[in-house]
Formats: sequence, structure tokens, C-alpha cells
Amino acid sequence: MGLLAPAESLRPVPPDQVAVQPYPYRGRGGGHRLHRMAKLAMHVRTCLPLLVPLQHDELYQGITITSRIDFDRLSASARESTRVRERLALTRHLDIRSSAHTMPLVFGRLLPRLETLVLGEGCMSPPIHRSFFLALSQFPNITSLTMFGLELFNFTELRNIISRFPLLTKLSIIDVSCKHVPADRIAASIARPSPLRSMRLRELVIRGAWVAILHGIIDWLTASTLTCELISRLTVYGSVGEGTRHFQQLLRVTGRSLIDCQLDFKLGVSQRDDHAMPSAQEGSSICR
Amino acid sequence: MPIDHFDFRPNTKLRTLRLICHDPLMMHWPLLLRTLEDQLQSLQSAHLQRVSFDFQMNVDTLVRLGPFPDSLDPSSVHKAQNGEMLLRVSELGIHLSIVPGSPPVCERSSPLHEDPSSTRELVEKTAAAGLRTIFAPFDARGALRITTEVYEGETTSKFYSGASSTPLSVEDNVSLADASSAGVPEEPPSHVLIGQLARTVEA
Repeated sequence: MGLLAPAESLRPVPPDQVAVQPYPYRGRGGGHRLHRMAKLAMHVRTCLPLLVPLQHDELYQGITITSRIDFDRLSASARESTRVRERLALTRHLDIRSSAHTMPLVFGRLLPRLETLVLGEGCMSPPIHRSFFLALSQFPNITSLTMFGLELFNFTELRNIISRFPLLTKLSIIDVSCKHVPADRIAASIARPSPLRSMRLRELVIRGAWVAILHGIIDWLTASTLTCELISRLTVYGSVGEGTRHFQQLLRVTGRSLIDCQLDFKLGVSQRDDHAMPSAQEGSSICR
Repeated sequence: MPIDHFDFRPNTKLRTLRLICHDPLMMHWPLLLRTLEDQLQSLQSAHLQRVSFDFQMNVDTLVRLGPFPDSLDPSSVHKAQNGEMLLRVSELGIHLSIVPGSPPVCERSSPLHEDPSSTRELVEKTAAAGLRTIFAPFDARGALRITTEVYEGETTSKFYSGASSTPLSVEDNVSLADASSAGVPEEPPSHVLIGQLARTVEA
């Protein structure tokens, strides 16, 4: 599949519709510099097909959808334009902040090269329909999954999302809660055998999760030592009110693979009652 | 009773370590000394190059902590900082994040230390000085770096969710590595920002 369309089909890009802006950020030296991938501003419906003459195919490697309108526009463009579908087929990074529950159903087959998936900022409302989990299997090449600012119905939903990506190497769970189910049910769902037989994580980040989720996810991931034994980067914040047993479990499993580690801990005397599951009230900020 | 700490003995290839220490209610010098000693002991077999301890506490905790007591013997923790570790670790960073006010169960704040400058002075006289005593071998080698950050937030819980309080001042420069480890991305995402695109053009 060629990357460039025939020249006669290319329309010029109106200057008022396209603006390439520098993407300032503070680099290692402390100053600002332009990112190699400049931030491109254009009207989606009009200009998605026009990405071709810009020869900025790389820009399609990452897509961020921030609203339902964006989602609808992109899906409509994909339906109407072969060129858009061709570009979507090159996409490697998808960051979705809205309408995520329909994302795999709509874009599943359009994004065969997707490697990084970010589900963020309340992009789904619990409970999640089972079709979502089933359709996630259409992204077999995903190696990096980030979930942040999500409210899920229960721990099973969290587990069902993660377990759909057998090639996952980087997993980030940030500010994820399960408010609709008592936390003690998590223990029951953890007891199920781990389905992650092929998953080999290299990086694990858990921050701002409920204590129950934090402990649940660690127990679940470490149920199969193969899942975590290659982790070289580990970041886990959130030990408030509990001992270090779960952290220790991770440190033991990661063993010699661990190179970079960030943990928080409670300065005090170890608690022996590590097995007691906290109550659902731990969704409050003090427990995060 | 055992002290709450991590055992890094299985992690022999560990090169970078950052530990965030909280729970100001339990913070006092003997406990801190023993915890740090246990932590350093468990790191003897690791290939550490950079170590960072972040202490997050309220002003009242700082007041209660006070100066490092003369009666406390730091020789055992000095011993844990043996020659091999001193050679390997190029930087031992300690970051003190101070939030005005009291821990949740304390009754009131310390009005004398609500001013950031006096808080900084208090930090220097108590926590920073004490930690320099504990890490004297690293300090003597020039590998110890202590930074202080005074927040105007209300509780330490803000640290954990990543929602930052507003720092009033930061002493010493925090390197990018610190920023990165705190969740600041080194590279911006290369996205087609669809939502922003539509808004930009429609505007």
C-alpha cells in the first residue's frame, strides 16, 4: 500500500485550516525546544484526507480523541475515505478520553498496528458491556496499556481489560477506582487463575489506586511468576494503611530483572494483618 | 517488632531507587535511623548508582521530630554505607516535601511555622541536619544532595494521586531525572490532537 496518493487527487491545504505549531516542553537541559513531531492543527473532517500532501504520515502514528464529537468525526472520515483508513492502519498510538466503550468495535479492524493504548479520564462509564472486552482482542499487537482517571465497576473489569493484551510489556494503572462494588469482592475475583500466560511485563506503574485495587492487581499479576519476572522498571505508589507484603512480593518476583524502582512506604511498624481486605470506603483521597 | 521496610536482596541489578516515605505520625529519629539502616543493609548486593529518599511531612511533624538527638548513635547506619556502596552510588538525593499544618489526627497546626521561610529554617535545623548526620559518609564524599520543597497544600494525600499542591519554593534545582520520576514525561506525545484541531479551526 503506497503512502502517497496520486498527485491529481491532492487538494492544496488552505493556510487558515492548517497550522503547524511548535510543541514546547522542558527538555533535559531545562529549556524549550521543538519536538520533532510538531503539533498539527486542522479541521478533522476537512483535513484528515489532506494529511497525505503534507507527507506527515508520522503524525498518524499517534491519535488522541478527546470528545464524542472527535470520535464521531474520525469514525465518519474512516468510513468515507479510503485514504483515512490507510493512514489509520499506520497508527501505533491511541489516546482516548471519550467514548472508549465503542472504540474497539468501531476502530478495531482499522488499527491493526496499534501498539500503545491509553484509556483516560473517565472515557468509559461502568458497567462496561462485554462486547467491549471481546472487541479488544482486535488489537493483538498492543504492548503498552495505560489506564488513568477511570472508574470501573469492579476488579473483574480491570482484569478483563488487561488480559486482552497478551503481548503487553508496559502496564500503567493510575487513579483507577472501582466504586460500585464492595472491595472485599476483589479478593474473590483474584482467586481465579491468571490468564496471562503469554504476558511478560517489562514495566509496571501503579499510582493513586485504591489500596484494595493495588493489592488485588499485584496479587493477580504475581500469581504467575512469568508475568512479572522480566520487569525492569517498577513504580508503585500507595501503601497507605498497609504493610509492605505486596511490594515485597513484587520485588521477589522481579528479582534480578529490576533496574529502576520507585516505591513509597509507611514509616512505622509492620502490620501483620496484611490479608484483611479494606472496605469500600477506601475510595477516599486519604487512602490513595 | 519489625520495621516496615523493603527487602531488596533479590534485586541485585537494581541501579536506580526512589523511596517515598510518608506517615508523619510515626516519624521520629530512632525509627527513621533504624529504617534507613535496614534499607541500606538490604541494598548491599545491588548495583545502585542513584538513590533518592523523599520524605513527605507536615510542619507539626517537623516540630515533633526536632533535631537529631545526641544520644542516638548513627555508627551502625554509617557502617551500612560501606566503601563499596560509596563507590557505586554517585548520588544520594533526599527530597523533603513540607506541607503546612497538622497530620490528620493532630489537633492544630503550628502557627509559628506557617511562614515558608521559617519553615525552611526549621527544616534545615531538624530534618536536613539530622539526615546529614545519618548520611555523613555520603556527605563527606560529596554525593549527598538535600532539597526542600514547601507546599501550601493541606494534606499529604495530594502527593499520592499525582495532584500536586502548589510549591511555594524549591531549594536547589530538581533535575529532570527527578521530574521524570515524578511523572513528568521526558518526551511529549506525537499525537494528532483531534479535539484541539477542530476547536482551533472552528475558532
